[in-house]
Amino acid sequence: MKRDYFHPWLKRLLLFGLSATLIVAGLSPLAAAAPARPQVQVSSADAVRFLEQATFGPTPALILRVQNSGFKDFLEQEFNARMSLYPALPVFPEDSAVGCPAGAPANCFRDNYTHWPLQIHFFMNALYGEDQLRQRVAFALSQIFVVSGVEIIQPSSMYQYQNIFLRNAFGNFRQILEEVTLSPTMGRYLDMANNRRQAPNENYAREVLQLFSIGQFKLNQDGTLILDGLGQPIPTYDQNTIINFSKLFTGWTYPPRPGVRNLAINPEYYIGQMVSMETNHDRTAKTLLDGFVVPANQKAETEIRLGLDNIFNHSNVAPFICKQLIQHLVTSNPSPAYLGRVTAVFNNNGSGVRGDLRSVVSAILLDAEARGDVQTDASYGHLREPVLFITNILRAFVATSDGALLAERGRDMGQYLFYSPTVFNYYQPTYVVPGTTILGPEFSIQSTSAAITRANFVNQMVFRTGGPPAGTVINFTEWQNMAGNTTALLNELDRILMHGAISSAMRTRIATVIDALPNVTAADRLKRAQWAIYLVLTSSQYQVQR
Amino acid sequence: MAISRRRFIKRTGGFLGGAMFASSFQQFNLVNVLAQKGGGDPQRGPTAADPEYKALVCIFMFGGNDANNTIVPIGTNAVLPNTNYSDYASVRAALAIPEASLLPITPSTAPHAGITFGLNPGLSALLPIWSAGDLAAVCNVGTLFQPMTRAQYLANSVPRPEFLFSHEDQERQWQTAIVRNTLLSAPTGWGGRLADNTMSLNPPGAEFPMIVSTGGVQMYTTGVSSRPIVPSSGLTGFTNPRSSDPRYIAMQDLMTMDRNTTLVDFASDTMQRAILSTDELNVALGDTTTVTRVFPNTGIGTQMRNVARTIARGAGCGSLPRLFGNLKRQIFFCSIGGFDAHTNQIASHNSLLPQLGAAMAAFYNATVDLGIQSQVTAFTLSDFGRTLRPTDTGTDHAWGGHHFVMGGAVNGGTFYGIYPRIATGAGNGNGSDDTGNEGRWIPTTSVDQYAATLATWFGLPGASLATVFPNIGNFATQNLGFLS
Repeated sequence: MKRDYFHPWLKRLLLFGLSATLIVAGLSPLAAAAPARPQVQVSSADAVRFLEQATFGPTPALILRVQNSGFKDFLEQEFNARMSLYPALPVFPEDSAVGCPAGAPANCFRDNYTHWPLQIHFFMNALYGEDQLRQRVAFALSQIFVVSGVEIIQPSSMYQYQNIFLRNAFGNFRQILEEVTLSPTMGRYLDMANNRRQAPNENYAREVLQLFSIGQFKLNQDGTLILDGLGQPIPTYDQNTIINFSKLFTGWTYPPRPGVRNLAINPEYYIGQMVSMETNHDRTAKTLLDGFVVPANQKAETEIRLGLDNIFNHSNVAPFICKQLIQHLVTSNPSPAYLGRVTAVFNNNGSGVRGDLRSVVSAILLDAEARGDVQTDASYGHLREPVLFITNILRAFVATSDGALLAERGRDMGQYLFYSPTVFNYYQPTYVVPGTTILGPEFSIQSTSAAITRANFVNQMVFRTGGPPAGTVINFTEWQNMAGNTTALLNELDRILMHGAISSAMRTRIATVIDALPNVTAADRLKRAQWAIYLVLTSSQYQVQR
Repeated sequence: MAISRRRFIKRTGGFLGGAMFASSFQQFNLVNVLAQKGGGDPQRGPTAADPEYKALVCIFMFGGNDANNTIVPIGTNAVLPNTNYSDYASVRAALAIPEASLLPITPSTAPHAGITFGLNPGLSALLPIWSAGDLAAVCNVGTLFQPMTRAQYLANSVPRPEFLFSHEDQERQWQTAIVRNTLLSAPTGWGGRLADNTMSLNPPGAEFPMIVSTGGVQMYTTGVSSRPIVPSSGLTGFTNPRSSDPRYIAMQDLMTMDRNTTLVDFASDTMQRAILSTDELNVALGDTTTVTRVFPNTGIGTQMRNVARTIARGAGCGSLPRLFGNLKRQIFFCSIGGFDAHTNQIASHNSLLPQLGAAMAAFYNATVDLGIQSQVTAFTLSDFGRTLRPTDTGTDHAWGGHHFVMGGAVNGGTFYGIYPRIATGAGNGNGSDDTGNEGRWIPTTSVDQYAATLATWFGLPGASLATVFPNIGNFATQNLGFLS
């Protein structure tokens, strides 16, 4: 893939990024004024909101970049940003006692039989990657097409799978569906690998319909349920549909290991795509969705194509998938009108293409229901999931990090990266907030334990109490410098963390406690900054991103 | 018959036991007042639990336990059709457990009396509890809207649960006891609704949540008003006592603000509940002296140890002060995952069932140590059973399955419900419980009946039964009789 790394916008961006850092650091006002700045096109508040949705968190530099570029140009920059993929990792023997025998390096098991290296890579990209939007959309997709390290042991069995979403984050949904289906990682996780006609396994057939494409009930294009004459929802498929798809998905096995002859049933191997073995493929006719019939005597490869086209063209795909993408990026409860505008783009990007995710992502982020300085609807927004909670904090305060052990902090908050407990993801898109009628997917992991763990993570980061993640540190010097003036301190925290939407009650309460603190020494000012930051970050008002 | 005598003893024993506690209150009171100057529950002696206390402990086997390999018929019998080892082995093939390795048990009541069944050898730890009469199995229980036969299923002539065989839906239905219109129903679980409707049994003003989940946030644990607490380490970073730390006070105040925003409101509720209850719960969890029984060092073992410790201090066992505002009722949720055995089932089942059995046995023994076994009932739930007919090395999602109920109040040593006819397809002229040809048993006992029996024992008034279990009226028997 050829790419011009010195595209003019990139140079501009580098300059602005640099100057932004300097401004915030208060080091050189002159340097900040030096480049010819284009007129600010976007308010600070809307830029912060946009970056909360489109990246792993606003940074001072990115806020300026969005303000200066405008949303559309910024998106264009992101679409063209250099892609950062997970690195290829060496395949180890299945048995870790063989792969890491006595005398092997101390971290042999951690590095080759857990997803540690991918977790670090993920967090380093999330914290510092240039392709923020791609990483963020890929993260959302990976939480729809779920596989889990609970079963996929080696990171070498996982990196290719995760790269599907990075490569196709702005590509076509149909392509993702196919790459996921033929991935040996998914083949292992949902048992399509070595699925034989003699005993078809229903696992992949069921979940590809229920979770990866159309969902269970027929939907209007605005996401509302289609109801029958009795006011009841209408199932999109039944057990017979699943049995037919389970037969369609027979006859695939792991890719052959290098130098090993291809067999009808290959042993586990995760590099490359699964291969078809006709002897194990069911060749009977099959009735799929919407009554579509696959005639008898088709090859496995032909049937996969027909089957995935059948799924992809179902009218539920747009509302089912777009709603989840909106939930991941913007808000748990998009209005039917918002979802309808996005599904229209999914169904046709304006050039007659269905499933174009680049257009879908733009539609999601540029919609009036996503944009603006503030959204006032009481049900708007979503709880920052643990990974985003962590990265938003670290990015806002420009932390230095080695990426290590952040996944474990997320684990303690209910989201262990790459180790979803089941194919239903860490949390469920249909979870209704108890006592209400609105959705709040991330609340399905927000236990009392997770709530306390979040506050304790903030305590650890803000008061630098030590312990893991020891390689992640925030320097509060600039906040300390600002903290002699309560108003200035709260203004900046409000701007960066709450996009200017902090309520007057909340601001007054924090100001009261900060004003009561001594304000003489540098240590006093550090404490004032830390207390204010702690109170904002642990507040529900911050944890719910609106 | 032995069973009636044993059951008689259990019933009267439980009753007399209660009477003895009651008549001894005065003495305990005196001892207590003399021994302890203030603190704790004045109605409690140094070792006696509150006789009015009861706990229900749910153990959810996530993924769908293969009930067909959990309880297996041994030999042949003329009592029930298609309930022979050969019926099982002929379909199960390579997945069949060798007959000789099954652990024989002989249910004492009709229709299973006279048939020898075998427990999975991984559950050997449960055999003594079965023998003591404190373990029962409820056969072929599953989600139902109303009773249904194979013919009715095939003709689609009576309403059935939505999205059978789907994990997410069946887990939810087991936990909510609501099987139709699930998208349009209030998202509450039956454990939560049971807490809502038994809350009045607690002392006035009790604030500690009735529900403790060691298995995370679950639908089961959420009621209309009840919310669970999930154990964790406490809040860190404040001066001691934190109640005088201005930053802590401000943090508390922020949680009262911006409540007009729905998600903020709920997030603050969760944090407030966490702060209110976590420290007190940790007193119980950190108590290594009241519960002395050693638990296996497994996920489920640790969860059940924590439940035992919570019950011990909640009910006022031992000599340390009673906790949780003297709650009279507590509900627990534990879980063990990994049962979705599409492949390599034998290895995974052989790993999971011993963990489950050992944890349950340690828990039961701990309640016996505390003398509280008749006030604590543990029971299992799971997504569904699995197909009798294997795929290659595993099984697929199915429907009805067998479940265990354990505790001193259990009329155990026998089966409830009806063991399914082990015949796929139309069966061998004896009828079949199969939905198709793979051996997916149509349940003959509903989740509602199973749960309502537990809830009634727990103290749910009959008048509230339909509030907690909206479909219970669709079933003639609303108490299966496995508890007294």
